[in-house]
Amino acid sequence: MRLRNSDLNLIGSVLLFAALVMIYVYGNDTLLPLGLIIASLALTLVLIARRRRTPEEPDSDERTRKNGAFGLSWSWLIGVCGMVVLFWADYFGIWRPGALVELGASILLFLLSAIVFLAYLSHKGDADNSCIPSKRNR
Amino acid sequence: MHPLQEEQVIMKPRNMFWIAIGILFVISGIVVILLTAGEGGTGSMLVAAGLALALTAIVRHYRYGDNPESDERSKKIGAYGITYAWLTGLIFMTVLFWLDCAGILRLGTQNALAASILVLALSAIVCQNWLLRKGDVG
Repeated sequence: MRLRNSDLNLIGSVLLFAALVMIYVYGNDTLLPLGLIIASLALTLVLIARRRRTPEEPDSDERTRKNGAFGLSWSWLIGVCGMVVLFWADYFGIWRPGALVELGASILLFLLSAIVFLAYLSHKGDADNSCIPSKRNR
Repeated sequence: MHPLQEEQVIMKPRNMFWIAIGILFVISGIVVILLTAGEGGTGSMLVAAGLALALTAIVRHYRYGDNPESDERSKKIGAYGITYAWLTGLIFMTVLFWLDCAGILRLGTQNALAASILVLALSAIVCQNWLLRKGDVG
C-alpha cells in the first residue's frame, strides 16, 4: 500500500500537533514529544523528496530494487561487523559508553552505511558481479 | 588420469585456507586457555572463532565440492533475504533503544548488542530459507 502525499501531510501535522500539546501539558521533561517531532520531521522530508520527483518517473524498477537489495546487504554486513567489534570492546573493557550510546551508534552505522552503499551503487549504475564478495575471492 | 581419480573431489584452495586458519585459531585459543589457567574470555573466543571458520569451510566443501557455490538466482535471493533481515534488525534495535531510553527495559550493553546481533543473523537465515523455498523473489 502506498500512502498519498496528502495522507502523509495529515499524519505529519497530527504528530506535530500532538507533540506540541504534550509539551504544553506535561512540560519539557519527557522524551515522547521529541520522538513525535522527529517522526513528523521524517515524514516532511519524505514529502519533500517525493515532490522533487517528476510524476512520470516510476518509484522503482527491477534495476533499482536489485541495487537496493545489494546495497542493504553490504550495509547489513558492515553493521554486524561493527556491532561485534562494539560487543568485544565492551566485553574487554576497552570502550564502555553505555547501552544507549552503543545502540545509537549501531543504528547510525546501519543507516549511514546503507546510504553510502545505495548512493555508490546508484552512481555506479548496476550491482553487477564485481561487487559480490564470493566472486572476488574465487 | 586414473578413472578413480576423476571421482575424487579436490578441495578448493579457499576452503583449505579457511580450515588451516581455523585450526590455527583453535590451537592459539587452547594455548591461551592453558597459559591463563582458563581465566578470561580470549581463549574461548579464539577456539569458538576457529571452530566456526573450520566447520564453515568443511560444510561448504561437502555441500558444493568443486561446483560453483552460487548463481544469479541464489545471489539475488541472498541479497533480498538479508535486506529483510536489515529492516528487522533496525526496527528491533530502534525498539530496544527507545525502551532503554524510556526506562521500560534496560538490558545492559552486552545483552542488548548480543540480542541485536542474534536477531540480525537469525532473521537473515529465516528470510533466505523462506525465499529459497519460495523459489524466487516476488
